[in-house]
Amino acid sequence: MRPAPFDYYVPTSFEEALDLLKRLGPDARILAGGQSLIPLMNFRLARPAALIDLARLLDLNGIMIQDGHATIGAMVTHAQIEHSRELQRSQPLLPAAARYIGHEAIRNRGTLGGSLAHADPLAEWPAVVTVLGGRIKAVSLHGSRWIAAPDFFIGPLMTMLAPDEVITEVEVPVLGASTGWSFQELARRPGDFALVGIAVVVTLDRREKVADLRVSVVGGGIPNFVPPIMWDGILGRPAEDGVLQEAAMRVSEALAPPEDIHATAADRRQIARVLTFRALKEATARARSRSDPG
Amino acid sequence: MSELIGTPMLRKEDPRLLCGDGRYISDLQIPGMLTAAIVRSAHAHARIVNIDASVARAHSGVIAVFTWRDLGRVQRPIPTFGQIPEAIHKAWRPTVRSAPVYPLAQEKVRYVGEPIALVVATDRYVAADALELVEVTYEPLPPVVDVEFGVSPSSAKLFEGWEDNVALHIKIAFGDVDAAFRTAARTFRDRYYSHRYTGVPLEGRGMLVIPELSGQGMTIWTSHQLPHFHRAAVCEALGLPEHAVRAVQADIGGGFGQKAGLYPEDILIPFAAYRLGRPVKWLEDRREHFIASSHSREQLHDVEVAVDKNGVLLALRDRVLIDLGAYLTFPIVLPYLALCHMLGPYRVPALTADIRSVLTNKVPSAPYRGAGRPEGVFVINRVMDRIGRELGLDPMEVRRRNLIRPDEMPFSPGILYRDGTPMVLDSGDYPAALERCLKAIGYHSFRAHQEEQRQRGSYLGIGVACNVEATGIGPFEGARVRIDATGEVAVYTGVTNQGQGHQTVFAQVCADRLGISPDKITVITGDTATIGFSRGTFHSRVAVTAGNAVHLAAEKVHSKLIRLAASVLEVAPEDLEVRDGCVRVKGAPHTALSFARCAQLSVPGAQLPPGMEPGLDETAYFNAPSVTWGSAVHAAVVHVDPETGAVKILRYVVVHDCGRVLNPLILEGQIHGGVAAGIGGALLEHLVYDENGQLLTTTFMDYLLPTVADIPTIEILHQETRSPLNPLGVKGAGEGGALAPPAVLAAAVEDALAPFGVRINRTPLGPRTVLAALREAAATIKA
Repeated sequence: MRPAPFDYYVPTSFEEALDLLKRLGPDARILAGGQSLIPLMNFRLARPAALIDLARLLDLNGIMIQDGHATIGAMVTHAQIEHSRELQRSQPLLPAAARYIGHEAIRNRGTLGGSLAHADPLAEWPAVVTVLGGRIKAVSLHGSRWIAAPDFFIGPLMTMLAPDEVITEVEVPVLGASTGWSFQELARRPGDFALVGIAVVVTLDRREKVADLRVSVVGGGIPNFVPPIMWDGILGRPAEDGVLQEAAMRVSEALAPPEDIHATAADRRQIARVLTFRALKEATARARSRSDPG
Repeated sequence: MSELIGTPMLRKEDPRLLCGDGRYISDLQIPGMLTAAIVRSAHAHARIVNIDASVARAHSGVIAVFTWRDLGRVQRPIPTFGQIPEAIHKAWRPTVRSAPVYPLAQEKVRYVGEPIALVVATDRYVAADALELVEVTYEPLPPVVDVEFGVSPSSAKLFEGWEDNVALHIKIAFGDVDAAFRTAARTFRDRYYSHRYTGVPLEGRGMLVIPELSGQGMTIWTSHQLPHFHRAAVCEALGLPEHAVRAVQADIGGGFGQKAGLYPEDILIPFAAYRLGRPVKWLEDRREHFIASSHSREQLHDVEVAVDKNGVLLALRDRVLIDLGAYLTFPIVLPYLALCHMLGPYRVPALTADIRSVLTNKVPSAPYRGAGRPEGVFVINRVMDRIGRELGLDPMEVRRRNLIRPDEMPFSPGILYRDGTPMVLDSGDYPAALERCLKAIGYHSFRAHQEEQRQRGSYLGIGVACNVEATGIGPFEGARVRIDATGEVAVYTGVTNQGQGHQTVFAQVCADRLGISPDKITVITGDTATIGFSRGTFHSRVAVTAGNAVHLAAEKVHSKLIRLAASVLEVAPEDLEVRDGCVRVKGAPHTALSFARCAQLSVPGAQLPPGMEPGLDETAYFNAPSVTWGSAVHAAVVHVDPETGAVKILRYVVVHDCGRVLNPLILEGQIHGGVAAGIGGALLEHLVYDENGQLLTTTFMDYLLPTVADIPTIEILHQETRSPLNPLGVKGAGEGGALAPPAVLAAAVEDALAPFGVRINRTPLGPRTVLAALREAAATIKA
């Protein structure tokens, strides 16, 4: 469990980082916390020729709430999100989901941008940023672009990022009125990768009918976002148990979850149904409490 | 006399360890030290066509690469441990085939992880790079991964010339089983499966071998639990006399029995250091630990049970398949311990057992904390619960009717123990322990609470298991007690300490006999240079064997002190007492000789009483007649989510009897550790192979150890039934905690899901097992 030899760079400016990335080519990898990459290197399953460590780029380390959006720097750690008062107020799904990421030591080092770029189907952030309708900013020497979250993830461990692009920040809308959220996850032990995780955002209309419904699944494969077309016949109906059960069943049936030593595909479908229902119950209850009886 | 034994004295070793002053294998560095790493088989079953080490040998920083061809006289099998005693051979005539481990693979590999070549390099990084440069060409053979397939005619054979893969076959019988089944009110059968898991010490196996400058021997800083055994094996392999090899324990980061067997590296690293004339260190990494250190527990029991109308067990028939892995390293231990631990604490009047230990292309099986006992405890307690269900009896009432009573002690189930002596449960009060445990967990009020919770959709269950535990196996262990000219006391024993608190407990035992503060006593363990003979640390034996040896050696020093002082002070021996570090005249405490003075007066050339040898330095060996039997009752309350299969332990109670308690603080720590290991095995830990014989669980991401979040508060009650078999009255406690949890938690989960008709006859109790059992129950009800 010793990595193969590699070169290590610690740029002090973002421009330097982009330069290095271009110069060193596709054998170089960005180090953004290293909580996935370093274990892979120790097992020699990943053998980058060089690492470009973004740890000193403090510009990538801020959380800002402005104009109905939360903007989070790529090098913000899971722990910073977990403990951010602003986010707990304005977009509480993010801190709630952060608590499920690994253990404290991992959350203290792992970053939002690192996790999104790694695009592990078992990671929380791809599901959460997608369910919130967030977008991801990618920057290279040629300029920058925003990529909407569902488009960003093109497959397990695969993203839209070009080899010379780096994530700088992520933007998600703050929690709207009459909108509730929930994050449910089941793992073998606290801190393990999820067997299944469910992220839900529900908006109710004034008559407490389902106006909007967004669901993403951790461990359901990437893409993890349940397409809105699935909610035909759910939207516009009252947020009652029967309707929520039906929605949960649709999520479960839409999944093609993997089988592994911890659970079969059928186990995961069942757990997804159960967790989705529990998440929808919790989210609709929160939505009700956030509605303005006016 | 006794003042310290039985007190919760804080551990003498802790300040050093907690301040980071431990000296584990990782900490040992000496100038010129080289590092070894091992090329391991990538295939479960394959012929080795070619090994090309030329590129690796030429790699910068590589000192040597050894393959089978380079081993010289070390091309010999590694000794196995736990041989079958003559008495067992005579009684049951087992069929045993030799399937030994060699230091390196010859022409065939039989499990993923089997050593093929040894690389020695200047550091661990270079060694890791060089491993990739050794090119091994394999011709893959069909793997044997499943034990039932392994005994079928269509299975590949691991060894040429064998007609099947059965390495050991033993048939055991007593009582009239057929008559019992004819007259039984009820008979039933079940299949019980214990899955494969193993010990996971914080520090893997390892050693630092330092050759003597003379080139004539070596010192081995070892993590082996049996340094004398390790030395003997190295001496045999290298052709060296015992005086040329010193094996001494470093601080050991956990052993759990896994470090009690001999492995290829135990010979290879001394061989390499000796051959190269340079110090060589090797320390297993985590992945290596999973594919190169022994596994345990995988057993399949097909049991038939005969009971009378009152639920009293009449007879058992058991057909056992033990998934041995690739080699037979501990011939008798796992099957025989499983069997013996099914024959208590309940009466089994008649038994037939047909046990086959079957070779498969997996890591070899060997003892791990329990060493076959948990598997037997699982079977017999699941049988008790099944009897209750069959006859509509409370499973605790079934236990009451079948438990051996104190007035039946000593109780002989009717077979030999694995040391070849008759198995005799020497002492204990099993029914009292059960009642105490039921009272502590609130068994009688639990049912109403359970029903109330079920009405609310919350599923609680309770499970109980009773077990006996064979401890303190012989034949002997030794200790040496020495008072030096400063008046301080050293206690030497060959057993190793890897967390059991020997430095503390032996100081307590010695201090009580010598009447001196334990602060003045230093305990030195696991060094072949300090004592002639030792067996080592395994089979929950050290408190019993070494503890009594310390007591006997201290007794010898004590009587020598009295004789010496009587002669010097010219008083009668019976007027003297040994207290507070002095020998003094009773009633005249100022007429006294300090230990230091006594030591000075006993040097060679001093005027000694007639016949007395010089020195206050006495060695004693305690010969254990056989094992002494501890016992325990465990109970748990769990919550099970029938929708997700998640199991949560709400309460865990242990009533534990290991005879006289030497140090309750250390004992509770032992129980906590054992129970945590048992819970880990019952719920989480699982070594899973795929159909090609690749181990899928080689990291802590896949092999799930319990964390603090998974272990409940463990409530412990002590029962003390002293052993009649040794002077201190003690029984062992090292493994006990790990025996019952799988049986307890299987019963509790089954009880929680009783409304669904769920049966739990296998572990681990993860979502796969629990959800499958729920689906199976639903299908049964529909059909």
